[in-house]
Amino acid sequence: MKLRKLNNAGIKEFEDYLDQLKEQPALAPPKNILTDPLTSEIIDAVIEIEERKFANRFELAKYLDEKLIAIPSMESNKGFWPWLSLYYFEILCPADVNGRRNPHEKARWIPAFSDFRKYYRHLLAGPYRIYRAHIDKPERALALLCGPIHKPGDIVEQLASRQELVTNKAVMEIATRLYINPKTGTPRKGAAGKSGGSARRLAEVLNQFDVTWDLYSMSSENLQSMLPKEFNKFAA
Amino acid sequence: MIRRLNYTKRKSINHQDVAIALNVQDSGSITFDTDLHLSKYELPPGATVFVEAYRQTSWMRFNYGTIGAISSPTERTLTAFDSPEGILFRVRVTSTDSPKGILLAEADQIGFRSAKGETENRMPLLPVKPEDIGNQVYRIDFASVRPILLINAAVADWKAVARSREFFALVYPTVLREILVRIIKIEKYFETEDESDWRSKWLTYALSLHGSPDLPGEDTDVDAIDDWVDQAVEAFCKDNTIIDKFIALWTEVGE
Repeated sequence: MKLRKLNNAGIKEFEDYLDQLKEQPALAPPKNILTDPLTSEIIDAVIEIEERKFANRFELAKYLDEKLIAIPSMESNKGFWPWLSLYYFEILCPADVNGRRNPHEKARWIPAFSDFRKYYRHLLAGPYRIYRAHIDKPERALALLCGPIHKPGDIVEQLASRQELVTNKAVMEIATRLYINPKTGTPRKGAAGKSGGSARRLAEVLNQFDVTWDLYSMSSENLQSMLPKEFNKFAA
Repeated sequence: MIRRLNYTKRKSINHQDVAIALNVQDSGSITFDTDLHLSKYELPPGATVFVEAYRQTSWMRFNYGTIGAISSPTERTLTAFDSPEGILFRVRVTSTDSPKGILLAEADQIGFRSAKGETENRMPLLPVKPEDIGNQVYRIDFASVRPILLINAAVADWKAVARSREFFALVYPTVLREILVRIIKIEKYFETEDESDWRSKWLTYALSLHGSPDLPGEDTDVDAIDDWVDQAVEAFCKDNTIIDKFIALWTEVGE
């Protein structure tokens, strides 16, 4: 399908659907608004988006980057991300065995661009922006991009909400080195949660370091050497 | 919110000592100019000065030389940003002596002026914005970098509501109370030195209302804190002649 975006009426209709879905979890998504000229408009008449599956957030972000690279200002396009979310609704909000879907919070579908604690929660714009922030070497942000596209996970929640961390190359390298199994590309046991050495603890420790040190000018090796011993279990 | 301890006595640079002007070219590219006044902070001449622009996942750093020889880089185009909305700046001064990389001084969350000086993007103490908040008329949102007063988007002219005398008289004192209670009783924050922290700004504002430097501390009992908050709200109402305006308004309605 050619790239389109929802207009205000389309966004409203999509929001209404998300509200209704909480009461009627088997309600079918309003796919008609994707192409209805009353609710959407074309962005680019050449670029095609295909229906497909993605192994993880990284693969999704890479695909979107390749598709959107020639179009300016897509990161903050208000109508595009809801449109794309609806287009991929079935894989972003899979139904359970009884055909019921749980959309969770609205920020997963309609980007909360002005809210720094929620903007990254959009299931598509979130991984795309993280990938773009590390476009010189996206693999360094694998800790935030390795999860399934409908389940961003706790590492994302802990690290993506802080601008100083998510944009810091050294921090992302450390997070990926500590928490991602290089053989499987999946999170190591204990990376999520509240226990010692977890991503939550890493965010807390770096939050304190950030008062004292200029973290942006540090290499990942130097920064990692300053971490408390609780992180050693992941560094082996 | 987790408290951050300033063990190394990092200095807080006053926002008034940093002026940043943004210029959007016809092509859409964004450049910026700075005016830094850092001499009074007595920082080491060799310390490095950085200016950073950021917004969510976008971030750029520019090297401004050293405290002893501050110089703007020739290239100051914000290539990582597709629009000027919401861009904030920070200034960081870092040590080049051992231990290298220590943060010596900082100013964060700095807004910008347009190059023409027509608009100002300095962050207001309490931004107001429309939001779908169910059946509530207004709500304070603490989930952002600072409190935001949300007004129900279902209200057609929310800006007019926010500016109205009725809303001001009835809502703003309550908002002030809720924010101060949040800072002091829930987050147990009592500092006024950190200009980059919204809580410091609000406490400074509350102190200006009180006309007194006394601020509750961690050991202050709950009743005394409640009294302090109440005095601040009372002073706010007095400064803004809230009760007089409300009585006049009510009289107008009656007529």
